[in-house]
Amino acid sequence: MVDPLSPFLIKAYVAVIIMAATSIIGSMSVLRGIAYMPAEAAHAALGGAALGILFGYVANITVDPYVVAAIFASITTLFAGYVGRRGGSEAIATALAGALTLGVSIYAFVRYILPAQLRVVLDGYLVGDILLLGDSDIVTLSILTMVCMVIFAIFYNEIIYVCFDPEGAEAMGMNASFYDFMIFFLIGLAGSVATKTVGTLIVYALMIAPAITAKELSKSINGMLTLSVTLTLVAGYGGLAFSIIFNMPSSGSIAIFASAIYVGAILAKRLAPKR
Amino acid sequence: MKSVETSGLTVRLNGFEALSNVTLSLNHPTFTAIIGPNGAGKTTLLKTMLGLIRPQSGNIRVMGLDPIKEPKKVRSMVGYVPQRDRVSFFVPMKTKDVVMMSRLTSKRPPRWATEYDEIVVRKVLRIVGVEDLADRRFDELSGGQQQKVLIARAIVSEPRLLLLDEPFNGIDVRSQYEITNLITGLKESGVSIIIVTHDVSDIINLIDNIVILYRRVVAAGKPEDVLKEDILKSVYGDRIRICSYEPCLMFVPRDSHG
Repeated sequence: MVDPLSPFLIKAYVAVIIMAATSIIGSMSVLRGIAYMPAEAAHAALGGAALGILFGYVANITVDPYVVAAIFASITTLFAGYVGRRGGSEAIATALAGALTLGVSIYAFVRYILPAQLRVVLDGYLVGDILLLGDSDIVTLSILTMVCMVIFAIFYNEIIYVCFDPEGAEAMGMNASFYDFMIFFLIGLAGSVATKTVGTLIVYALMIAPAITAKELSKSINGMLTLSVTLTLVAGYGGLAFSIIFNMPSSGSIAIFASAIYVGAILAKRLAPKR
Repeated sequence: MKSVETSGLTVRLNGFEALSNVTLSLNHPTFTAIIGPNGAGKTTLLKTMLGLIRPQSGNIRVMGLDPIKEPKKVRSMVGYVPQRDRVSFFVPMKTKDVVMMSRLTSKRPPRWATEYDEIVVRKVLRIVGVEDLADRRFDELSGGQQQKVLIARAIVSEPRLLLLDEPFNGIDVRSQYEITNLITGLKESGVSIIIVTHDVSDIINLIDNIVILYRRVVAAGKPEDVLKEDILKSVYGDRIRICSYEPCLMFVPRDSHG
């Protein structure tokens, strides 16, 4: 039996809390009507991480791939935001599809060049494992998550208003463009955090599934955010326990739990008697 | 004092001339309806009044100020009710929070609401007749109720000029009547009203002016001087139905939203 207080499990517990925090940014992307963006940001982060590893390998300099991943993802989402402001939601979708393709292409190209031991590091970003996070990873991810949360807390009203009615907010004197770009930046940053924590492939399940579930079940924004965090914690710890007990991949188990909660909640809502 | 004054106003959007040499002069207070076919530049004109769109050439003054040079001052005096479908229904905002938005945007972050803000919001919700819906989700309200909430949001900051973009779209006759009464009351209290609409039938006896816009000002003046068959057909073509409704003509454009 695995010791529940073993260092790698304690780090995983912290990582679940980090994921719960990033689900707030996932909720924000749902409210902004761009629920697909964290997944695209995660793929951009994958490409960024690949470039980071490549720099380290080719130039023989120490570069934290995650830092490059975070920068790459943030720039990508900011660019999508810029394109979207000029060309609308279709333009955002097109820009992000391009970023996704670019990210995956860079990953595939770099993976082909890298030696086997570095391929494992790179693949960690694709199919991450919450149980394999190091101390420095936890510190970096915690700091970046704190940055996201502080920005979100300070500019909560602005973010909600821009999601609800950007034109009206601007007409009331708010700099709606600035706050809209802030939203895109936060999604990029949080998407990269989620990528490092659970891997690109299941970012959507953890950042968005709880947020969408919470939106379906909540009567207010605060209720939605609280429920989103709660569901992510339930999915995180439930999936972790499941993976340990049944010797399954941890990130995948967490994602399955998150998806199951979503399906269960929607079914329960549909089947519940209408009042 | 003029509520809105423009001269030779030209606005280009994405390389397309949305407004061409628009010259207008509206008194304060006024109750003016801007009508015209889809794509005539009605919403563009409202946004230009708010300083949201920068004109290519010409001048515009709103309540005596240039909205491009002094957007904050202009926006503090102007209430804006956007088209209802421009508002996101992804956001589960409570009705009272929608109205509070207008109070809080005039503050600095983190923009906390005071008890006084809460009282003012309640009072305005009562004025527009939706106080009992304060804690309901905005996206769960009917079209008419949503429109009243958006008007409440615009008037909670006590504007001197209220701009409404197609407030009667998709709402029932009773709600139209209630909103018309609300707007008329505001006009009587000294607020200028400029309303973009496709249907002036309910407000024809209340408005001071009509502006017919089709990228340029086709006609502007009192309803009985503007609503002429030749003018209307020059804008809407021969496909509109025109009927007599004293003291002027009424019409139903085929491309009306409502």
